[in-house]
Amino acid sequence: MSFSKRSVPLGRANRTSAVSTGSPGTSAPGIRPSPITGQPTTSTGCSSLDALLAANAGLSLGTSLLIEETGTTDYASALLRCFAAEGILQGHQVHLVGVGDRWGRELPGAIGESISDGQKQTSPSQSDQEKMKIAWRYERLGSHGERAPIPSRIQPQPGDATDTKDSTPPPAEHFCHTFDFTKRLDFPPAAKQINYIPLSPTPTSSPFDPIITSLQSSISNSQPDTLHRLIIPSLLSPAYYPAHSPSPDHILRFLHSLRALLRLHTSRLTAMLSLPLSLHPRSTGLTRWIERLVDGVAELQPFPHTFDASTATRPGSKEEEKPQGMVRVHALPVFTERGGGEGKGVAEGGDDLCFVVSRRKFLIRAFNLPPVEGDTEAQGGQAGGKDMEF
Amino acid sequence: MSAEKALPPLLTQYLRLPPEVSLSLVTSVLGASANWVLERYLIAALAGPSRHGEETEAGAGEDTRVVLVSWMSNWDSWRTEIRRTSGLDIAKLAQQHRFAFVDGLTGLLDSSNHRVPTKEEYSSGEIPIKQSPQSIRSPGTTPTVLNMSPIDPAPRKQGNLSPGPPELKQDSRSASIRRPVKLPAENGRYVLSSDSLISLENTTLRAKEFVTATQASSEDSKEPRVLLILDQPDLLLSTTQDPSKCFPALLSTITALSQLQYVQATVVGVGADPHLTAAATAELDREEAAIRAFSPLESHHSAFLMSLAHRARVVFQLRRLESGWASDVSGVLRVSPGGAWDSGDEEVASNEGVEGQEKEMLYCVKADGSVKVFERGAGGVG
Repeated sequence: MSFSKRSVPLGRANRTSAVSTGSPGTSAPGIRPSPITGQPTTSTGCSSLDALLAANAGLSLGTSLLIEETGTTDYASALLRCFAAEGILQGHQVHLVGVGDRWGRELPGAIGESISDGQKQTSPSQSDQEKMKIAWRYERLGSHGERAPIPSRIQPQPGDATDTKDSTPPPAEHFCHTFDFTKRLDFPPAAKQINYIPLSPTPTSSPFDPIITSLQSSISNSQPDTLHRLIIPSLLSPAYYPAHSPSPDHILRFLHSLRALLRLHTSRLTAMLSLPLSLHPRSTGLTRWIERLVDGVAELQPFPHTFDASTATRPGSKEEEKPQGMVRVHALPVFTERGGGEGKGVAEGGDDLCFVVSRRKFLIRAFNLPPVEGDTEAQGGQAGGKDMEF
Repeated sequence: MSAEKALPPLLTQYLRLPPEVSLSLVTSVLGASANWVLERYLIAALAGPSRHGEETEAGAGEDTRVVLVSWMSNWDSWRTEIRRTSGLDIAKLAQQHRFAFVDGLTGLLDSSNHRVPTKEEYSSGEIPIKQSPQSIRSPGTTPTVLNMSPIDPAPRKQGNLSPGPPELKQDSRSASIRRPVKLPAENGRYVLSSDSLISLENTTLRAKEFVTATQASSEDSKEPRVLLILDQPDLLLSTTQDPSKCFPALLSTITALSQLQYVQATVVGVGADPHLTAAATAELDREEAAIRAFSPLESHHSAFLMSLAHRARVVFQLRRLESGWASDVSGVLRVSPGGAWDSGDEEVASNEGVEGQEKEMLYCVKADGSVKVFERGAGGVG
């Protein structure tokens, strides 16, 4: 068995040699090799989603992730916005399909983004700076504990956070930012503008044609080390998409072409899509084909409206941690295609994963029912009884 | 990992090339990919005793070559995966004319912008929809043939196409002269430049001729045997504009390809998610059929799958564990005789030790690419 284990780094070597054409390597901003497979991955902007993705600690380059959502809520867009904002902060080229620039302006702001950027401007007020510094420290603590075994991640010493201009860490050292949904993202000066791709409204042609064309030209015209992120919010939603787009020969063809693009530019392109399931439930063949054509599929199942006033008014309280719904992972990038089931990320929570959206995070964690009010007493009583006995 | 170790012992009897021309069907569902089974077929054929024809085992001198047509993955992914799981380098094998790859994924990209015909074009009579009885497969291909025309007018000659292999061969030869190839043919890599079935036939035929080309010069008198692997051709069915015409055409194309000269076995990987096959089982359950109408995509997919299953000798069904995720089981593998399994097979089977009855096993694909296949309740064995 020890012999077969060793084949993993071998495979990594093969992988990198196979995709070396135009590969930015792992030194490009926002990329690091997966600790398990060695494939270069990039962050989704949500660290718990990163951890879930097949223990790749991120979305493997050249793969796509579909976020499905039941009901009328739009939690998936929070994930997509994080994905977009993360791309902008990492200097990736972000492509946004279908929606207007209003969507792009509403990206969440990163906590401590200006410090991690290395090009910090003078903060408007002392209190702001202080707040950022604290957040930055907390965030580093979390990421450090989580990603400690990866040697390539050089974390700055705690003292460096105060004098960022001298430490000049490369922007890449921040793999995943933490976002605050109440803030708006300040575009760093070095960031690339979002490329808004409109859909073709002509009823006679596929509405998705401009996406592939625009992506192809953008990839071929950009620097070879530029990473591209494609974001498609609310796929097939009638609000954005013309009526003939759900026709299989449009949508499935497009996704097949997108798959081809992802495989061709396996070190430069990632994609994240969201699909509202109300109009296209998972039981239909079309949705199943969409799921087969993307690499990873996660479904958000919000709980039927448990939102009450108390949760909204007390953001700092425990109530905030109450999950808003369940997460079902149907397919993981790379792992599912290999046929494997040994996804460590899934293993941790089994099938019971839930998501928590709060002011400053989108968290996916294992689901466990909170103790019933009267039960805590009973449990305490039991524990006390044991103490008495032994 | 060596190639021999990559083959699970319980599966080797099925992965062996059958004695006569046959079709195998591998069905997968979301979350239980069939890639590893197709890989095992490929590895079993290429890493078998026929390597260099020098080893003196039962199959010595028999030269097995593989043609892989994939609509879902490109060359790089297959190469990485096969090397990772078995140590075989398909690029090297392609240099030896033992392996050829037909890329059905990336080639379609270039034509994506102008391959959808407008309704007016479709009904303008420019395309012969019902031309002759033997052009049964051309309707399914017409949408893309039309759009290929700026690139290559060759496939327009639909009259020459008939399902028979000899004619097919002639046609493709003439077409292969005219058709520009994106990659140099010497490396055994071909690209489907459109999703028309004619393009599929021609390119696959040329790939097959590529792997059998060295036979004439070789002193080895034994005929080469070709294993043809089709990775999810149902994609053509799902992306076509008119599945009712594409369905019989695709089926006959696959049949024609599986009967080409030297092609000993064909393995077809098809998706069989319950939602895609519901239309076939709905007849048993009238209530469900009454409740919902099936989309053309669903009904034709299930019809396609059932037709293949009836033509197949062996059917592999992959599915996920019903009980949910498990750390040591990736899914369930069910091997059952297909519709083409006849009593003659039984004798062969008993000689070979293949059981002609259904068998259900569990499998686990590990992180290093190895696969463990074992009977239910025998988790430690195999």
